[in-house]
Amino acid sequence: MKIFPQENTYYRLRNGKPYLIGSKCRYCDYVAFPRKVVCPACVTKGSMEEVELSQRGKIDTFSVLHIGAPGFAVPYIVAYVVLPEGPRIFSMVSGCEPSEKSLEIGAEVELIVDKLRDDEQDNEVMGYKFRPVGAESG
Amino acid sequence: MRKVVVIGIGMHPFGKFLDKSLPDLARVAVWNAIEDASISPRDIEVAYVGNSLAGLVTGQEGVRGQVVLRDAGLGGIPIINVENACASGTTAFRGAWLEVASGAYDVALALGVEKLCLPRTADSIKILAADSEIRLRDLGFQFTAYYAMKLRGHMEKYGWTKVQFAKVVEKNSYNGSLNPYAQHRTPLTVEQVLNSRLVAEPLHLYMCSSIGDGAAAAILCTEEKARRFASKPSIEVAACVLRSSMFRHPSDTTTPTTVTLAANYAYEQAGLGPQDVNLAEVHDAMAPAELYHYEELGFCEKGGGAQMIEEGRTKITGDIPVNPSGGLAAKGHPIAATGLAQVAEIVWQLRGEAGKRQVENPKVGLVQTSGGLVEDDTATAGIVILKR
Ligand SMILES: [Zn+2]
Repeated sequence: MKIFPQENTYYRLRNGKPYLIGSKCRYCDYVAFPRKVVCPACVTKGSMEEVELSQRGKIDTFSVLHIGAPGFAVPYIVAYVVLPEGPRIFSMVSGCEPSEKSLEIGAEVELIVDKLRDDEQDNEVMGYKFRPVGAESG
Repeated sequence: MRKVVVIGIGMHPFGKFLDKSLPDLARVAVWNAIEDASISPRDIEVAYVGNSLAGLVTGQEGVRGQVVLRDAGLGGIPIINVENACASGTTAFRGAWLEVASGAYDVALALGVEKLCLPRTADSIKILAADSEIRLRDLGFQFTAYYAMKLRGHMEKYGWTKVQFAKVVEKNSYNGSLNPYAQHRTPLTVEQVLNSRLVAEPLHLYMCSSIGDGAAAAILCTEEKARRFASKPSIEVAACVLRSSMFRHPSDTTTPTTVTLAANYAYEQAGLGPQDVNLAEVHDAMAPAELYHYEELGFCEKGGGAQMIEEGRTKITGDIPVNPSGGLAAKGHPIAATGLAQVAEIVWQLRGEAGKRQVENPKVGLVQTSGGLVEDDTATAGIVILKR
């Protein structure tokens, strides 16, 4: 069975397409992901307001993992993706061969919801990931 | 603050010991330290015990220190349990230092003990992931991935190469081959390292520290008490610093790293600078990380780490030997034992007791330990400066 534990916590769907939920500080304009109550930049409580983050970002750095986290099928790609609003987001990258040659620093990627791993009850745990812009599938 | 000295150190060898329990490992390290200090166990007035993962490995979640120390014959004193992932041992050392420095007690024990090996390696790997934010683990995060991505950034920025990374392993595996306490005692060539299986691009298996069991302990006391007991020269704690990482604005390119901030404070405390350091034990959970620790500790300019390894400056025979013990990748990395094993190596070196690994006549040694991960930075950074 597919389960979606991150929905409405890390992302929401609009017209079937996912976007990440961030928060933006009313005082200093800092944008955080995941959402925060205290602004980490100006350390004000209660200044953070929910914002919808861009669906596209750029690869800041990445690695192809051959030994993975528990339940994740290897090999797979992980990356830090920088969004135009500023957040640097840890995420898996799919929609391309899990190889060094599939990606480069600066490559443009877009947000998708796809399978992350199998849990101990054999559920397919779904969540946010990125894929190269123009890739056909997740 | 009073001046604090280290009068005894002890280790249980690092490695895979499926037949040994957490108390078994601790007892050996604690008694080696007691005998090294030439004191009676009854002289110990307070103890700090670092352990990171016994709750998940053995189920012993609470009172770990009291359980392991009772088995070693110690009780009736304050025992404080500390956890700071890979920096748990360094955190225990800081607690013991603070007790003596503050004047609360005269003789303190710091112990770091970790049992990670399980019959199924997959179970150990799963448990290790608990030392980063669980939120990240559920997104596919692994410690190797963090180091791999950080190193790729340095490759891109400074032109560092995988061959240079392998040279760090060549140096440290050779050092480890001279260390009777090390988990891996086979010297490796650059070619062997690059031919070992890929773990996380650009990291190969032999660049990574492996899962292991072990323990290390130190006994700290006042200078005055030291004169009363110790037969060996005491080693002064010139600085002891612990720091956590903090928020960093993406546009901020000038604030130094968490490790550098901790090191700068330690240099200030010691009244010394990086140029005064004769040797260092650094946290190379993945061996190539050593290269950016050189710059973080002020041993070279930004991006200059690879050149230092090329020039052999950090070999045992170099001008600033780093990880003469073999470092985490060769010596082994039983999480909470690591910081105190780093302290042990520096104490042996400063006393001139390091045998075939002996650095020529060192006077000042530095320990750097990183622990865990929060967001995209080390959770804890510890620095200890020791001098004779
Ligand atoms: Zn703010």
